[in-house]
Amino acid sequence: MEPIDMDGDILMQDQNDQRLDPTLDEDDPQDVSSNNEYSFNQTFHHPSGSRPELSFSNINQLDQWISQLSNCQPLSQDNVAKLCKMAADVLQFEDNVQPVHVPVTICGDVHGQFHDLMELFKIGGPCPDTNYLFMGDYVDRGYYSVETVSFLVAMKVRYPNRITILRGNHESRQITQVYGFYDECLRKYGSADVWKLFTDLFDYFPITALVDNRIFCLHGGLSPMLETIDQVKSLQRVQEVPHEGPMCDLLWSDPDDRSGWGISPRGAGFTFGQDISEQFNHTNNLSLIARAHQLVMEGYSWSHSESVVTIFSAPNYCYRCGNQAAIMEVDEQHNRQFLQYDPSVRPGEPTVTRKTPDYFL
Amino acid sequence: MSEFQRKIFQRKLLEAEMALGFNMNEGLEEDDDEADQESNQNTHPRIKHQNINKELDVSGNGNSQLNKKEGHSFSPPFAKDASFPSTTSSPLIKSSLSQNNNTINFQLMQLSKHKNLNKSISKNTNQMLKLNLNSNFDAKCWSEFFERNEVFTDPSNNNEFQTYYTPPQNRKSPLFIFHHGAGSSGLTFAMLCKQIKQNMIHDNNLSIKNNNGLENDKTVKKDSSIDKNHVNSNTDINGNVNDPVAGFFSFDARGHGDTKVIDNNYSLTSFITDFIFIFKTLISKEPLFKNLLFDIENDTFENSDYPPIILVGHSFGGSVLTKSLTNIELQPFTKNNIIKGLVMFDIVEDTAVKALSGMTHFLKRRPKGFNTVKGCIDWHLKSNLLHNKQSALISIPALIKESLITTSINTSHLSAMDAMNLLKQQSKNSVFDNQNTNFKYVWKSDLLKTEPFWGDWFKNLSNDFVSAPVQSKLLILAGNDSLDKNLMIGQMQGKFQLIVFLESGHFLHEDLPNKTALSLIDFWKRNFNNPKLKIPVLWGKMRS
Repeated sequence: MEPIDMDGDILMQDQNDQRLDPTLDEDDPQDVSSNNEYSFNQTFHHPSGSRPELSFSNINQLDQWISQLSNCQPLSQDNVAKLCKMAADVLQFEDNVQPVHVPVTICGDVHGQFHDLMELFKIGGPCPDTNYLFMGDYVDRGYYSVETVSFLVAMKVRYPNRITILRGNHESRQITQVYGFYDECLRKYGSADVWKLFTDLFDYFPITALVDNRIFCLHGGLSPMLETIDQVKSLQRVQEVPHEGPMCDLLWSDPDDRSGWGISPRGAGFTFGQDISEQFNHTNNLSLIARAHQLVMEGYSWSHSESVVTIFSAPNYCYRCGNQAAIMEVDEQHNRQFLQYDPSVRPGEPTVTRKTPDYFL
Repeated sequence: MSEFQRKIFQRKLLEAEMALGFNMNEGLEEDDDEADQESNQNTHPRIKHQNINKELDVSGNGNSQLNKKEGHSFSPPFAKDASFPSTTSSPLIKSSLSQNNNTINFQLMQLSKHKNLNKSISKNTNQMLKLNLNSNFDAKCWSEFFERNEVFTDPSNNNEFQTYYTPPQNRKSPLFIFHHGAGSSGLTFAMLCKQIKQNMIHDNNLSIKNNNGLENDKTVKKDSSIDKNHVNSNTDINGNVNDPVAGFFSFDARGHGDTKVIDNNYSLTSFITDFIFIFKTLISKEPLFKNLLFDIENDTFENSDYPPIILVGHSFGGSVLTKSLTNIELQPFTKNNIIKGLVMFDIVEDTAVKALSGMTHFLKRRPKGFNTVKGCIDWHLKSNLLHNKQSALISIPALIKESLITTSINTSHLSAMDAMNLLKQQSKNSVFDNQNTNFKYVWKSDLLKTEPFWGDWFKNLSNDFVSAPVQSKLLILAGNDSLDKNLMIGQMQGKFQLIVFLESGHFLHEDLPNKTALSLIDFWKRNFNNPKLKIPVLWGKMRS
C-alpha cells in the first residue's frame, strides 16, 4: 500500500492539488469527461480462499483486548497493528453486499460516543448473543473514536458471523482529518500511525448489507448510477471513498421529500425522492431500505411511505444536539421493533474547551 | 522525528501560540512566505521602495496633502507606503487607468456636492485629477481587482457607500456579492475575486482545449488559433464572450473604509437596511438585470434568465446577509430564485457570542495607530490576524487613514469631509484623539463605538442560516469544525455544505484565496450551473 502524503495539510499553503474535502473535487475536468471510470468491474472477484480460522491463542488475545476496550482503555499501537491485520483478513472476504440473516439488530451512526455504544449493547442485548449490523460512522466528533472503532473491529474479528460493520462516509482518510479522528489518534498515540492503520483498514469494509434479501442496509442512500443490487456487487470497493460516483453516493446520499433525483446540499452524493425508493425496492424485490447518515431527533424516522428508514444511534450527538438514539430489531418473522435510548450516565466527558478566537468581528 | 511529525508539532505550536497571544515564532513565518511566493517578486520591491516614496511625497509638499485628502475621502490611502511606485507601473496598469476615467468623474461629481462647504475644492480637484494621471497610485490599488469603483448615495439619508464592482461576463456567469466583517473593508475580498476570475478563465481555456480535441480537422485550425490566443494571454481578462466569468461586488459597510454614514447607529438593522439599499441599487444599475425589478413588481418571470446571485459574507458580514434574507424586501428575490446561494465565512453564532466578551479587551490593547502603512501590515501578519502578505498589501491599507491631528489642524487646507470628521472627533473623543497624536496613521473604524450593538449582531444566526430561504448554502470554517447545536443538527441533516480549512486563520479568504475561490466555483458549478445535466442517471440504461 502506498504511504499517504499528508504533509500538504499541515503547511500554510494555498495550493490547488491539496484538497482535503471531497466536496471540493466535484468538477475535476478529467472526472467529468466520461463516465467510463465508473464502469462496473465485472471481473471483480473476491480473493480466492476464505478467511482464516481463529487459533486459540488469537481468541484469547481478542478476548483480552475486548475486555480492555470495554473499560474504555485503548489498545497499544502494536496491538492495534495486529488487530487491523487480523481484521483485514476477515473483511476482505466479505461481499460489497454482505448477506446477513435475521434476527439482527440494525444500528446507525456512533461517532466515537463510546459510552453510548456500551449503552446500546445494554439496550439491545450483549453481542454475540444478539446479532448486530452497524451502518458506519464509528469515528469523528465524539471523544472516543479510537476506543469505539477498536472495540467494534475487535468484536468483528472475534465474532465475524455475529456482527457486520459497514463503511460510512466518515470512514475515510480525508473526512477524519477534519472531524477529529486524526487529531484524537495524534493525541492518544503521539503519532498518526494508528490513524493510518485504521484508515487503511476502512478500505476493506463492506459498503452495503442485505438482510435475508429483503432489507437493503447502507450508510447514505441510493445512486443514480446503481439501479440494481447486482450492480452494487460489481463495484470495486477497496479504495478511499471517492469524491463522486456510485460508491460515493451510497455513502453520502439522502432521501428527500421531492420526487426524482436532486443535487445534495451536502456537496456530495444526491437526494432521491419517494418514486426512486419505490422503484428501487420494486426492481430488487425489497421491503425496505435501512440507512443512517442523518441525525433524526427521535433516533429513527420513516420516509417515503415506509420504504426508507433512517436510524441514528448517537444520543445527544456531539454532546450538544439533544436528540434520542435508536436501534431497529428485526426478528425471525421480519417483525421490526425500534428501541430508543438517551445518553448514558457516565463519569463526565473530558472538558475539551473549545478555543475562542481573539478576534472575531 | 520524521518530517511529518515535525510539521505536526509546528502546527500544534502555532495553535498554542495563537491561543496564548500574538507571539509568533519567526521561523514559522517562513511558511507564510512560501505561501505567497508568486507575490514575492512584486511585494518585496514594493516595500523596499517605501522610504523613497515617502520622501517623494514629503518633498512634493502640495502633493502630499492632496494624496492624503484623496485617500481619506474617496479611496483607500494606498497613495503612499504600500502602493506602487510609478516607475514600476506596467503597461497593463496604464491601460487600466484609461478605463477608470468613469471613476474619476464620479469622484469629481462627489466632490462637487460639497462645494458649498469648501471653496478650495474646485481648485483641488484639478490637481487631484492630474495627480491620478501622473502617479497611478489610486488607480492601481483597487483596479487590479475590480473594474468599477463607485459611490452609491442613499437619497433617503445621504449615506455614501464606497463600492467595488466587476460585472458578470454574461447571463450564465454568477454574481458574487460580498459583505465584509466588522473592522474590515470591501477590499478584503480583492484577492479572492482575482483568484475566482483566474480559475474560471483557466477552466474556460481548458474546455476550449478539450473541445478542440473533439473537433474535426477543418475546424481545428480555426479553433486552435483561438485557443492559442487564450492560453497565451492570461491577461486577456475578457476571455470568450460566451464563457462564464463571475462578477463581483464588494463595498465598505457603515463605519468602515471610505463609506460615509452620518449617524453612529451600528445596529444590525442599520446594516441590513444599508445592504438592501445597496443590493437594489446594484440590480437597477446592472444591464444584465434589466427588467428584473419590473418582473418582480409585476410578477412576470417568463424570461427570467438572470445571472445567479450568490451572497458571501465574512464573519459579521455573514450575519448581515443571512438576516437580510429574512427581510421582506428581499423575499421576492429569494422566492423567484434570483438570489440562489448563501455563503458564510468563519462565523458560528455560539463562538462569536463567546468571543465578544474578549473583544473589548482586544480592541483596547491593539495599537492605536502606526507610523507607516508597512507597520500596520506587519502588525497584522505578526499577530496572526492575517497570514498572506500579498493579500495584506491590498486589504490592510484600506483600514487606516492618516492621522489629521499630527499633520495639520488648519482646516482651510482640509477637504470638507475631513474637516467635518475632525470637528466631530475633537468634540466627541478628545481623550482617544490625544492618544493618537503620536501616530501618523490611525484606524478608520472606531470599533468600540459598535460595542453597544454587539448583543443583537449574532442572535439566532445559526437557526436563520439553516432555514435561510435559498437553494443552496455553504459554510466555510477556519481552524476546526466548531459548530454549535443548531448548525450541528443542520449539518447532520444535510441542510448545508460544510468545508473546514484546517490551516487557515479567521480571514480565510485572505489567507487561502485560491482554495476559497475553488470552493466557491465548485459551489456554483454544482448547484447552479445546469444541475439537471450534472446528475448522471443511468437507471433504465444499464439493464441488459
